[in-house]
Amino acid sequence: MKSLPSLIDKNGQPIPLDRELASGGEGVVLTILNNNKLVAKLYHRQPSDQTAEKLATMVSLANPELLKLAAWPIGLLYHAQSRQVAGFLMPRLNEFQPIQQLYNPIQRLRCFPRAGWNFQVRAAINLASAFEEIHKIGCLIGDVNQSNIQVSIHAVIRFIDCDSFQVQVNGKAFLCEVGVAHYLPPELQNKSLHGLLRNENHDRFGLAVLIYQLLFAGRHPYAGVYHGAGDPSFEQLIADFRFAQGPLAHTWKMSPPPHTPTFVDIPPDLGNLFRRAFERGSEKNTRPSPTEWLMSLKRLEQSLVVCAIDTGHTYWRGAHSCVWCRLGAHGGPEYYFGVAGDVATFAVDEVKLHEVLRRLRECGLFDFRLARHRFVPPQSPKATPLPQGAQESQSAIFILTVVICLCLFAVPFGIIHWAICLGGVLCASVFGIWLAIAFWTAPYYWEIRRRRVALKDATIAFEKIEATWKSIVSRYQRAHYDTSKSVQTLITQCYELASQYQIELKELTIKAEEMGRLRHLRLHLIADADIPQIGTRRKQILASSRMFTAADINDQNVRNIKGFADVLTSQLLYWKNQVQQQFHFDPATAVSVTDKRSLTAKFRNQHQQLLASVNHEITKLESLAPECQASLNKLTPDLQRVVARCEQAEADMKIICNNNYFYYLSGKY
Amino acid sequence: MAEQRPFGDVALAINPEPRCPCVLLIDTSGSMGEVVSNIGADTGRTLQQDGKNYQIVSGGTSLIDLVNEGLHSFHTDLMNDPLAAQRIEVSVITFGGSVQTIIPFATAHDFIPPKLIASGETPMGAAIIRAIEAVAERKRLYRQHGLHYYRPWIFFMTDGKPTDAWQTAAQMIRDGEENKAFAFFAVGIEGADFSILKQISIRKPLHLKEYNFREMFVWLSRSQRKVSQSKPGQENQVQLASPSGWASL
Repeated sequence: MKSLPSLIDKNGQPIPLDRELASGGEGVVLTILNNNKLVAKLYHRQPSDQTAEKLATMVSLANPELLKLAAWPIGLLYHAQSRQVAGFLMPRLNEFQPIQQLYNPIQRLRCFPRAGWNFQVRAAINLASAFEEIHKIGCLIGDVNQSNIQVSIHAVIRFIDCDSFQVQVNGKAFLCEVGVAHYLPPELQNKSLHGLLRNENHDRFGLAVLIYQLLFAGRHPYAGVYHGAGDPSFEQLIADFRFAQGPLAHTWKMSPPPHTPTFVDIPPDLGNLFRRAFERGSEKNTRPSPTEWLMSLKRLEQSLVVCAIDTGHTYWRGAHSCVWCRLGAHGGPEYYFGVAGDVATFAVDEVKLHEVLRRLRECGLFDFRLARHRFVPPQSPKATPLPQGAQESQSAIFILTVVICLCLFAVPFGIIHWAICLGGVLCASVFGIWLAIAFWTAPYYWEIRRRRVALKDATIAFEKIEATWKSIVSRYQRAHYDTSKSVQTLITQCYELASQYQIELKELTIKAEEMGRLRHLRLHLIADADIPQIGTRRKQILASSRMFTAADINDQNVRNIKGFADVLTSQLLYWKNQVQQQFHFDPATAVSVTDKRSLTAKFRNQHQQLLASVNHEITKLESLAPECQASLNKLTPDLQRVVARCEQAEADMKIICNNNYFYYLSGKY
Repeated sequence: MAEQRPFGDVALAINPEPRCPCVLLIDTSGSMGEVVSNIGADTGRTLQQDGKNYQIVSGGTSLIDLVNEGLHSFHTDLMNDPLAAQRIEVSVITFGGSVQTIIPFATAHDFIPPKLIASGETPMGAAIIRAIEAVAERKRLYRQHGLHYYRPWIFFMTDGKPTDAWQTAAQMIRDGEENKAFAFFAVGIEGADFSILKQISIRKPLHLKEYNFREMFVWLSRSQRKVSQSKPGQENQVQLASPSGWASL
């Protein structure tokens, strides 16, 4: 390890360095022996004269107000021998974390488990006021990013890496030539920052992005769903001013990402500030100043309410309902899970599932039978009267038939004389032909034929509609079967989550035990142990085979070493066993609260998702019967017409049947 | 009526960070079971696997054990970098007998290093196609959720040669690389058919030195960490560390 250089301050007093806190691209931050108020930043490379002058200027600007909000340089450090600038002293920050840990929901639940939206609003207020202070003295943050700004558990903001600030004093400017794309305004995207003098409007963009991220579940203002062509890069979306929110977002083909708050969840004046910060035109010096943010955010803070359902939820009173409950209910994440401090365990939501089961029971299969009588016209149809002369032709045909019978009756009398038989046959033939002619020419016959055809056509038409009806119903039955099956599967999956949760919790405990045991074994060095027959030399052999601690010992590995046979191996194993027995494991405290909480959150989220799906499915199931009914109703006019036709044809037929003699004679069509 | 939403998107929604997807496409064919260090006693029996004859030994460390160990190092190294842990999404797809998605895309916190087992043939072509499809599907999900992403990596390692048709897969890689849809890296372990690897990968395939799996995985994690903190869209300008620590170039 590199030895620490000896440093002095401007008065020549030695500053003894202690240990490294953090290391970055341009330098390291070190603690100072016996001083917990200050730290030293040391550059890897000798800082240029420009940097040294910048630092000196910053030191001269330092005042108690500034030191309250930034790790500001308060004194230069010089190499003891060369007297050249080596770095600077700055206040030490304790218990501060990058702001990214607060705006990112997952990180927030880990690092700020009790921080609700109100906490984030407060952090946003403090952020705006910190920006205001820095701008007041003619400095710009310049390189605004997710880790340069730190936040404490009391939502207090601090700037770090202040030596990258843009400092402008007495007409002399020290530039900030670095930046992170997410926090660079559209007008600076894809531009070189080299030699660029930044203005307040640029800094205000970075401020607005951070405030947006704090309020909108960590989302970036330009990270929406893009509906246009192609797959533009992140910078391109920023460069094109494609802000994801606001009433005009659709005109530049953007919409807010799913499962996130929208402009209805914040006061309109705050929404307008965001629009002024991110929409086209904002590059013309119109971005809201820190003071404007302060006013709007403070108003928002005063109109926050705590959700009645989950006290970990806070939301803007003007939104009327809790945005976090709403997002959760629609299959979104539980952004503030456990913030209220409830016990981090997972249980299946029995109440909701019972409700689903109740709805499922009420959604039985409905019997859509085609009841023909419902479509019969209210007044039964009057039969069409028989055609004129029907009666006369019927009488004529009746007489002819009788005459033919009489003629045929004469035929057996051929026994008496053959002429009688012949006469009978001849007469019967003549009258038969007459009968046939009379029959074919009778209007009555044709009327029957016509009515028969009409009845048949009507019946066919009815059967056709009946088939359509049946296919609609069978489609309904199939959908009903499929959907109720998927509802049941989802319910089962919901219940299975409970046992799965137990399994994973147990796995976590087992893993914690394994890790604990391994740690314990690793603490026991072979070199320090008193093991019979294992002296220094053998310990050296073991060490050369990469066996240093009790954890490294196992039967196979020891046996593979030359000279370690049964006896020595069993000695080592015995020792390891003894070490192992000293290991005590407490399953109750083994798994960290954070791990438990994230496991629970994972299951809660899955559960929410399943509930959302089951809700969707059951709603679909409930809509099936009305939908089927609606399609069937569309058939009603056709059905009424066809049934009326059938009834008419049947009535027409019936009246003929009543004059049945001729009906039977005419035979089946 | 609400639109159907695929399972798992809550994890996408709750983490607003831009994503850096990475598929580990690992050969788990029978030959990966070859014992390469701490070789135990010869049992005298032999076994035919993956087209070669092997002697059965009583114990030792096989290639697949080294891969499993490497995956652990990979995970540990990712977890050391909190921001990278939230941005890098890893999926493990293996091909040994059949192609299997062992772990679908997950961030480091949800990624549990799997214990892979070697057996079967080497369906390389099908595996590559599966990886390309998985990457395309993941990108679709990112877009649907308004998440930004870096160019996905497909990190492919094998110790053999394909036992299925690989020409379609090679064409898909060429197309994907051309459209900057993903970056494909191929690593050949001792015994790999480099002439085929060269035809599959646009980038020169790397030759793993002396089973340095751990170094390889740590390099991969470090590279991904760098990419995940670069400007999206400019990840190709990231200066990656030379892989010379574990690969002969």
